[in-house]
Amino acid sequence: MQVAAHLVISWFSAEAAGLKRPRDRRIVALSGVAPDIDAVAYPAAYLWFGFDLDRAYAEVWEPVHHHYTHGIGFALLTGGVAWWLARAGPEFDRKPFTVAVLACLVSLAHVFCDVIGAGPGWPVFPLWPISEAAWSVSWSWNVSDWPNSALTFSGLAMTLIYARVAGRSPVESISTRLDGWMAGVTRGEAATPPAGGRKFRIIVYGVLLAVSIAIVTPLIFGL
Amino acid sequence: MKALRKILLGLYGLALAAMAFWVVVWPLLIDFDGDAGGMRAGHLLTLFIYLGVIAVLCALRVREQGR
Repeated sequence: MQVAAHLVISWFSAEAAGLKRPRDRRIVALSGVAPDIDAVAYPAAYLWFGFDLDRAYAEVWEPVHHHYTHGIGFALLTGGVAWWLARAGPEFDRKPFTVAVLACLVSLAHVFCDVIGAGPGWPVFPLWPISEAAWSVSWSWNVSDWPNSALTFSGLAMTLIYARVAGRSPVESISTRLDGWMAGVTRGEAATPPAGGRKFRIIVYGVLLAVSIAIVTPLIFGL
Repeated sequence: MKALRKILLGLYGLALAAMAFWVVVWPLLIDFDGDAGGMRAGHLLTLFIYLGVIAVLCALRVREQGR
């Protein structure tokens, strides 16, 4: 499944569970994306091997992706980190245990979604580090298949609609300020970003670039 | 409305638990070699129940916020 879809689904999971603190929703949303942290290995290998994409793919991306972070071990680690993070911040409605359990479960939901929507050639290793057994299903959608794109674009549409009606959205996971601005724009309240400028614009364009790369990359490489 | 919300939260928890089951327990039950193709309906049903329940719970939350 595409990264944007994981983020949106995880944030809405936190919202549906009734978490009131933006910090807690952000922790759960990022926990749902966390298994894809292994993606940093690919550009790193690309640089390491002197811009040899084929070698980076064969020697690093193929053996690493879905191996160490898509399973129960990483989900438990995520839950522990989420518990630690959720203990900080404002005391209002602090629920570190709930946040930790949700973080652990959305991490596993990410693995589940990847079994369904990452392609049959990309198995997960759900019991790593206890077992090296791989798991995939023959009918899994490829990342560039239309059901994945439909889920991603539906999620982005829901993000805009929810920002308008509720005044918050999954963009909150990236920046509360950016989320507030976007909610204002969807409600027709603010046409320009608030003062303070340059850093804010860099964040906006950076997020747009990251979302575009996350959507377009699987299409280019036919994953 | 509170009863509906409790039922939906129960379904939400069940769907999350079911997803964990499909990825952690189910592969063990069929010894990692079974053909999971027959489980397609179960996987997709779990996914769409989960997404549906989330959507309704979020809608209820917005409604409560509006009051």
